[in-house]
Amino acid sequence: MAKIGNVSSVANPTFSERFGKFLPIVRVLVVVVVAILPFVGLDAFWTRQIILVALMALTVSGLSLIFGYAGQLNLGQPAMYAAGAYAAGYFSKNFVNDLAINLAIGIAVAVLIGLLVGLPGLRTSGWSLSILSFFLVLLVVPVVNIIGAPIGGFAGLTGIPIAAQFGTQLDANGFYIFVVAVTALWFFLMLNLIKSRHGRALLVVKESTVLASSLGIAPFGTKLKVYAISAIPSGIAGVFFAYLDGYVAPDSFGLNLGVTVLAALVLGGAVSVYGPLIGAAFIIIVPSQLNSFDKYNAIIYGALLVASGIFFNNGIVGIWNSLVRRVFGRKKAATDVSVDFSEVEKVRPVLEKVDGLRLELTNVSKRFGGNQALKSVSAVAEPGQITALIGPNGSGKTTLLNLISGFYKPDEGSSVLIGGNNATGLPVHKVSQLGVGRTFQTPIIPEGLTAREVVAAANFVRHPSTMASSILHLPSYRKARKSDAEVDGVMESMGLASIANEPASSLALGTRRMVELARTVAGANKLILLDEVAAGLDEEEIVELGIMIRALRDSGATVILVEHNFTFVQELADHVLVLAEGAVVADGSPEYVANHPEVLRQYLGEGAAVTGTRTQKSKDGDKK
Amino acid sequence: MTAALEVTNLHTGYGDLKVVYGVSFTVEPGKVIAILGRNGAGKTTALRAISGLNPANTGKILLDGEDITSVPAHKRISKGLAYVQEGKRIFRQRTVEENLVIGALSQKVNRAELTARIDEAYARFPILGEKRRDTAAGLSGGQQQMLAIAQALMSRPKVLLLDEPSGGLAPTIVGDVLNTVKALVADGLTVVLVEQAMGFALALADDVIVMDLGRSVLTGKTTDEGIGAAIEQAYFNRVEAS
Amino acid sequence: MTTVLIAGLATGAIYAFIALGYNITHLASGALNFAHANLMMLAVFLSMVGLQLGLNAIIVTVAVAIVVGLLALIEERLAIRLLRNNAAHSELVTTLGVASIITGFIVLIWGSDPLSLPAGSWPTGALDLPGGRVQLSDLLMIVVILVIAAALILISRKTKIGISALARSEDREAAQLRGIDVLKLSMFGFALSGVVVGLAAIPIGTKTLAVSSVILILAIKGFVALTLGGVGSMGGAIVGGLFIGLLEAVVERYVGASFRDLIVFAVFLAVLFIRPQGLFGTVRQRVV
Repeated sequence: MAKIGNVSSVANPTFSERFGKFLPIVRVLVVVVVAILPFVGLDAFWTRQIILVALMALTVSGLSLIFGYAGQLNLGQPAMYAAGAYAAGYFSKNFVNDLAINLAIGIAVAVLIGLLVGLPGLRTSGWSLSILSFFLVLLVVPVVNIIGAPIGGFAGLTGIPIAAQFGTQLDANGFYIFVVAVTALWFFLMLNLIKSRHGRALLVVKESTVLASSLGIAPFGTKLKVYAISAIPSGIAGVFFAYLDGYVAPDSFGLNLGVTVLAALVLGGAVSVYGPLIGAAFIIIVPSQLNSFDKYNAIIYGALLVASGIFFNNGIVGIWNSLVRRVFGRKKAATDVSVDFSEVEKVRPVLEKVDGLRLELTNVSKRFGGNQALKSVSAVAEPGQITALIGPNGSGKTTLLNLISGFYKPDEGSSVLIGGNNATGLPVHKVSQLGVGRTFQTPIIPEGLTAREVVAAANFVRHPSTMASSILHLPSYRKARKSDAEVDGVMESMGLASIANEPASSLALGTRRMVELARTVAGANKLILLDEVAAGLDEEEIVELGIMIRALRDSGATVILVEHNFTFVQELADHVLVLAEGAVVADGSPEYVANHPEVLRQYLGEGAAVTGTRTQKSKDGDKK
Repeated sequence: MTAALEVTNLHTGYGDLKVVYGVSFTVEPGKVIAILGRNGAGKTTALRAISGLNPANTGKILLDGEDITSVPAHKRISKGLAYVQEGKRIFRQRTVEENLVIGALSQKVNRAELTARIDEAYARFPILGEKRRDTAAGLSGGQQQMLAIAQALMSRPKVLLLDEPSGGLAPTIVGDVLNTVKALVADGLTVVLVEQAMGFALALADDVIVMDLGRSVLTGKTTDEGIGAAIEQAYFNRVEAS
Repeated sequence: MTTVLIAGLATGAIYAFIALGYNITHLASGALNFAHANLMMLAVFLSMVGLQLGLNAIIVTVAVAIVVGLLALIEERLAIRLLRNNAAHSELVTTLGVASIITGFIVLIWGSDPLSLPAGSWPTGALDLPGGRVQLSDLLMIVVILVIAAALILISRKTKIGISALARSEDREAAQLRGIDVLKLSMFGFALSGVVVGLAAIPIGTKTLAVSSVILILAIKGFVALTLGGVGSMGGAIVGGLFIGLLEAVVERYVGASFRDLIVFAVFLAVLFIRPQGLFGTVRQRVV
């Protein structure tokens, strides 16, 4: 069958599409060049500078992961750095002096510290989380003092041997190459993670845990993993730091370091893999070239932080990206990008067949404090049908939809069966993993994702893959990538191909709604919950919407529609459920419901009547 | 006579979500207009724009002849426009009396005048007087609604925007609220009333406007022939009702 | 024992004082100012300069209050008002930036060594009380802080602007509808927080000395006091601060100095896990 499509205007190829294939080679070349620099004459001062840049870049990269991508302002890097340094220093001095082994130990200890912030951090957010992380940094000195002599106490840990690997001591250049190699490895793995869907999953979690869990992403589990992973580079940097000078002093790990790391991050670009490298390079090299910079660094870094709130949009990387977009991308200003649906051919596409999930609600009740929002609601929504849920203010229809999604747990005695499975009280991400998809009254669109990536988010459930497989490019990662590419077909069939590469947040409302809808199509969802999806759309968009919803029904999915637009409901719904004051008032075909006296009464209120004459009388009676 | 409130071609919404498309109406001093319609029709959004909480993308709002379209929200109350939002939005952590004091913050009154106005409020709403030192959170729904109205009246408004005052209240309490507002209207207050429940609105209003999907689909006077049936038709957007 | 108690109450009073400052801006503008402790220490340094110039202590206090009040106002315009996106952590980043700038200037101008306020600017001497010897300056400082706290509570309850702040912090929109200019209120809140630190700079500076290195610890423990007491509650700030000060003093005396910060950390964790809204804070309902 024919597809809906507007294939004529494809988005201009982006920078990464044009040059993408060269990038991996370029990256390896750069690393090799940097590695051999000491052997072609680079002096000891600059070799040390590069090592310092590497250490800073690693630390900043950890912050970029936890703050830029996951949205948690955890400034505890100095504490994790200290943990890595002290662990490696102590072990190499007293047990085994093997760089690789000490790296592993340093990483392990740093991750433990990272989780120390992460676990309480799951329950708190914003300020409390950040203060907690600062506090950890503050505790480095007291804890070092408490541990005391074994790690040198207040005076510092001295006598750390020169780094050795497999029994051979590494000379200065050998250590340098090791540092460069490990740093490069970390950044390559970060690239893999960030460019994969897990990088996008982080941005989704950062934007909204509601959206994340409705896409099948477990927000707490993801956050905890990120806390652990983001501690690794700080630990690595700490280990190298210990070996660099053979000495670790507790006062190297204060909040000043934390501020410096944050300043480097906002300067380079928080939501980027390369940003930390760029920021670190500036922060290390520029001050070393300027005399007496030291006196001013707190002021300058502070000013950078203030400026980041006012001016910056992702630091230097952000500036680069907008330049690139201007040269290679659209010339038009990036707001209110939309698809003109009057130009889109309106033919109903044939979608992949799904095994629709039957929704069965029995005696579903929900009380919030003193308010009984839902009273013993019983209803069924069949697969291959469009069920509309309507009702006046306070009817509980949004509560019911959110309850089905899993955002609310129903009261005792309620039963929610999805496809025969007991979904009563199931958490949101587990409900989503059953094949339930939804849209939101206000589309939740994460910053930093293109329209295509928003639609591809459907695959988190449909074709899952683990973080490890993304980082290491295992087979399940490749399968996942293939499924992400299939998304293009879906977008084309909905007339959205022309905006696929646009940042989703720049899209106009109607287009954003269609993108959210495309996500349920791409996810081959078996139970689809649409929350006032027609609100704010123009006539053409509503026609397109109607076509897509019918296509979803024809594919076999169970479609549930919460709506205010009565004409839309009349034309579209096979089955209508009317709620009022938390209880079911009518349940049947649209015609049956439209003429149901109780429905009219609920909408029009007490004192109103069905016929004109009764209203006339009661009005005369009331008006004094 | 200058209209108390004149709204012309109002377009408004939330960011790029357009909710209200070109609504216009006029209210004469001492009269009541009811804006009816199902939830989601844009009634509250229209009131929010009149109060200044939402920007009017297009259109004009004249209060007693003065163009207040660009006046910031917090200044409109001192011009005589008070908005009682739906959901009994008083300050629950403050006492009843503190809520009344807050209602008069925009007024340049001395202590004596402030006390006089507070006493007036207690005279009109005796139950509030009894509970003057209680935290507003402890009041019943109906009492909270009374407090919300009393708070708005502290600024001696010319025009009162009332959003679903009957919301969530038991029928007898609704009757009390209705009588209260009727008395205020009799004293010369101009009211713009938003309601979902037709009965309350028709009992109070002189003019009626029905909104659906952001547009005005019916206007008329409550004394018009067959207005009740016409409203019902408008509510269900021309669905066959028999 | 009395010595330990009073010493604990004295540091606790300082934590409480900082928590009060956090409350002022939070009520008036919804913002927490990480640079508040920095403003306080800056006030101490400026007072020191004024006193070194031979000016009368009262004149110095008033002048410093005005200057720091203005600086806080500038901070509001730059770090709070101009924020591009209103994510909560943006304001933490920008106020952290301001904090760093202030510390930078302090060290640049006066160095990092602790400096004392000129003798005679605040009563010294010790009192012999049952249980031990206590510093007069500590006792008087506690009194000053409690007086300021009482004044703030009165202002918030009894003045127009105070009640406007309480209303704004509960429901910003409803507050606007009642005529409250929330932008001006935010500016006022910051300015007031600056004035308040100026007023107590001399007694506090006598205790802490003029030194940059304690700023961070004070800022963090002040925040723990705020969390324990409950954000938005002036009385809670006092209770929270004094409690932490006492606890710290007892632990330092009977367990060890290094455990002092650990115990405060433990209290912080406990509050976050057991009762995140603090003792007197209100619980906000979470809605999807």
